[in-house]
Amino acid sequence: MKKTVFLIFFLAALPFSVNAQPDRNGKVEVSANISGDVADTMFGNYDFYYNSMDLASIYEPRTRNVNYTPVFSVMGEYKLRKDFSVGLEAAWWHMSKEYYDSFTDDFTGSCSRHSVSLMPCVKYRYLIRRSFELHSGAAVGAGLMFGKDGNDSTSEMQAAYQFLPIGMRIGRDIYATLDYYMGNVAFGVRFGIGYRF
Amino acid sequence: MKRILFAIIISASLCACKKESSFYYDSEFTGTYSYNSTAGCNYLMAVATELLVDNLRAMENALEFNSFGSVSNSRTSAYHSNGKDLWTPGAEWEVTAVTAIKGVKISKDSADSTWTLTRSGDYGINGNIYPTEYSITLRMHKGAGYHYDWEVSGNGTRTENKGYGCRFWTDGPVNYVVGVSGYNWSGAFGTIWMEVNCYDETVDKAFLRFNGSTSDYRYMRGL
Repeated sequence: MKKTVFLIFFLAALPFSVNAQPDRNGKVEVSANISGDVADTMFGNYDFYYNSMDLASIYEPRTRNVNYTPVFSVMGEYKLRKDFSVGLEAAWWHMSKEYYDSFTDDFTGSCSRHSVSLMPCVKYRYLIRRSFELHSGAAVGAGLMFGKDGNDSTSEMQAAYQFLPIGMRIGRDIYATLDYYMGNVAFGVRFGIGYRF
Repeated sequence: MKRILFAIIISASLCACKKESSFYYDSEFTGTYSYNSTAGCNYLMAVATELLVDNLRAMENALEFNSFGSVSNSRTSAYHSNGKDLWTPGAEWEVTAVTAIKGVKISKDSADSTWTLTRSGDYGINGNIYPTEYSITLRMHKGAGYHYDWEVSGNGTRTENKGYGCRFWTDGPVNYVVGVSGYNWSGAFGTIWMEVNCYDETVDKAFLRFNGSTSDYRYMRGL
């Protein structure tokens, strides 16, 4: 709740603070972003458990203490036109969980995975104002998940994709973004801070 | 006096603990011993009271068809026979209806009241359908009501997802006895074993032992 309130105040205050900035109209932008929810669909849902009477559901170890970091990403963009840019986004998140024997409830091991994705992206701005814009975009690339599952080292590579149906940007050279993001890397609201060179 | 007070306090504490624990059930928590022990037992119980009992029904229905005298080479709606009376050695019948038991082959090798039932195909346990093979021998006893009593012995295998599979077998015959109502086999004696494998590695061995009825049993795992 505190984070949400802070975010609202920050976004509300940003247009006033950036009005004093000179408008350099630069073509290169770099932003750092954070998304709340990891979309753990790219490599399958590892924690899916169903109350069913097959041997796997009875004997597979139980998973507990599943922790995900937010999805952190860095994005660089280059404006080809005033309303259209191409760029590259690199995203990272980490997940850990613990396994427990399904019968005795004893701790049997843990799993730790990192996910790194690299996605070329495009963005279209359909409403451009002095300190405000609305945009949409998409990113498609590759993702690598690696880590340790029990005693086994794991590494898996698959396609990574994200869609940005709608997002807003507030500010000029220093700006903040608030996007609705969906795909197989992150899902939900993404907040970012960027700088226009 | 102090000792009495001490005893009272200890007793009260123990009662309080006991009372509190009665408010909690293992089923409320995931991954508890109780839950999966129950699930493991239910699985083996399904083998005993669904898979094996389905074959008892297939056998009894075949005997009923046989009693109609329709055992010529004709294909009935539910069975296909080699033309021999089911009580005659060399008789071979096959179930041609009902998904769960379709393909069950009934053969009679000797002159006594014993038949061998084999099947290789998908079988559903609680809606989970996986390839299941088995070969069981049924020996008929007198019975009561609408069913016969049966002695069942045999073994089978089942292959499931994520590398899991199991082997089940009887340790001596398991007796299915018709219950008081005469409509089902609620009486049971005998032991069914199961070995669970995951990618050819044994992960568990368990048994279900009936002590007189299908509701009076003992399940043990981790053997």
